[in-house]
This record gives sequence, structure tokens and C-alpha cells, in this order.
Amino acid sequence: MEQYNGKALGVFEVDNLVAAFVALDAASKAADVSIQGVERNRLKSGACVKMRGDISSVNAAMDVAVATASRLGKVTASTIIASPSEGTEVATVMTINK
Amino acid sequence: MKMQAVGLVETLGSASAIMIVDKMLKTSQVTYECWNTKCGGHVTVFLSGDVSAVTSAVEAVKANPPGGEIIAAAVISAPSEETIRMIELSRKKK
Repeated sequence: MEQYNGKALGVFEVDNLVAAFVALDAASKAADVSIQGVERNRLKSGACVKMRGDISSVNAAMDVAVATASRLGKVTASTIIASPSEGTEVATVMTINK
Repeated sequence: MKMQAVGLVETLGSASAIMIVDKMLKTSQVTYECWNTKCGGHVTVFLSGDVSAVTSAVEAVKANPPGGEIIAAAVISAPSEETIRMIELSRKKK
């Protein structure tokens, strides 16, 4: 399990899984980010992708991901946390293998 | 195994997903990876193969969908290691 603590966290959610995978592929090619997890929430058919890396590559990856995903589906939300706290790290990991 | 291209098709309901996979496998030389039926009744099917085979399979299914309507379909050519790792992860998760 790669060590993610302390790296910047980029999260974006799209309304279908196809757009999420195309966006995460484009993001991982555009910048040096590692994907922590793809997570489908129970409510709707959306999919949320979590990217980790240093802040500049997460920023670049987020721009590419949002641009790519908005062509295929609707980007529900996207955010970047520069330095997640300890609690955020736990929450991020916990929701992935729900 | 190094995938040249990954095809993704999302539809509503497992029945139409199975019909879609069947049609795609008959259309061209693609291999079935896994599917993701996590939530909302939406099913996403992952297929791998070389770019032309995957593209022709996805186009054939998009042209006249055998089962229900297709919500989204895409082809990723030369997926990065992260994408392949995510697909492997979603295969094991079931």
C-alpha cells in the first residue's frame, strides 16, 4: 500500500463511472499523481475518484480530469486539499473499502 | 498483461449489460475484464483488447444497443498503470 500520508488530496465526482475512468486515465497520464481509489457512492450512479501527489501535480491533474470528465458526464464536484489532516486521511481510506 | 485499449460501457440493469457484453464479444476480438455493479442499478462493463477491436465493439453496441439504453461508452487507448491498477482493484472488490 503506497504511503499517501501528507500528500495533497484531489477529489472529483462525476455522474457516471465511464467518465470517472476516462478522467482518471487522462489525469494519471497528464501529471504524476497516484490514484488512491475509485468509489461509487450508494445514492446515485456517481463515482468519486481520489488522487494523491504533490500539490502542483494534483492541480494539473485536476484541471485535466475536470475538462475530460465534463465532456462525457456531469462533474458533480471537485476539490483539492493541500495538506490533509490526520482525520482526513483516515476518512479517505475508510470510505474506499466501504 | 498489458492492455492496448480498454472499452467501458455503462448501462442500466445487469440484464442489458450481459446482452451488451455478449454482442461485443461476438463483434470483435476483445476480452472481458470485469464489470462494476456497485450502485444505482448502473452497470459498467470493462473490456480490453487492441484499439481497433475495442473501438469497433463499442461502436457496434452504441449503434444499436441490444439491451436497455446505453448511458455512456468510451474507449481508453494505452491505459496508464494507474487505470489498470484501478480495474484490477474493482475486479477483486466483487
